[in-house]
Amino acid sequence: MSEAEHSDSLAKLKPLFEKAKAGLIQFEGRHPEAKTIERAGYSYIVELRPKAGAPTIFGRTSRLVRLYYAEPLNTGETLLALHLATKPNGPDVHGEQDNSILVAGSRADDWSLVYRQVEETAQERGQ
Amino acid sequence: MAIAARVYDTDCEPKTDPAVSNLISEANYSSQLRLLDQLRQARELCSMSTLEVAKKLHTTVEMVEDIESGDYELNLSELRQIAYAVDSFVEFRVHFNASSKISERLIVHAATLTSRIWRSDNKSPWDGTVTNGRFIAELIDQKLAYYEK
Repeated sequence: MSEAEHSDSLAKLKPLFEKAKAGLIQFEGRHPEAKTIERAGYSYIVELRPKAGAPTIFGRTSRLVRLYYAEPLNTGETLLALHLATKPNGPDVHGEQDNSILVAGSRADDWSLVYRQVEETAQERGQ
Repeated sequence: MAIAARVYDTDCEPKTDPAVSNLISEANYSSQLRLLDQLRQARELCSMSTLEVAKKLHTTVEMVEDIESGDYELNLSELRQIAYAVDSFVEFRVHFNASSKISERLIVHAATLTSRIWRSDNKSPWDGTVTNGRFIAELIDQKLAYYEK
């Protein structure tokens, strides 16, 4: 993707960030703004889906941008961004989305480990 | 040239008058030509060559040239991206109820100007640079702005 495509995609993501923060994301409909990952073991990950835009960009097939995030139970109203990725606007022959979900999942695991350690350390110091 | 035209009510009626319909179509197309011209101007203001823009957009020089000449019709995603590449933003505007706002007077006036411009080798009699279509579009823009006040 070109710099212009990146910038354009981020512009499309921004209103979705705001809606997610306000709890107004639409998970239903013909073009849902977000989806919960259906893959077993990863259902805590939400995929934010900016509008697809035109199918081709300057003669090339466009790519879809996805932001994977989670809502940790023990951090109040925090949205945890896990992975910003793209996938083909069409058949995903190389399983790019699957890889992105794995990356998001492993980051979520890392984050929860670190978070637990920080909490435990804080508790020990408090005692 | 006799042009049958009438002023429409403010609600959205079908554009039954060919003169009004043609002017609206011409204004829409002229506006597109103006947009492409402004994109080229924006590129030149940035001192960028078509090659530099092509590199920035991951495309070819031919594609950028075709865009500027109107031989390649941009989709809205591409329009936003090329505007970004030449450090510009594009403002999308819709003039509502255009047929109701274009008065008989304007049509007759525009038609008169059109015939004058055609006679003057497709150049505006005012500054000699604005082409026929663009001039008419600008005139309609001015009139619409006036009626919207």
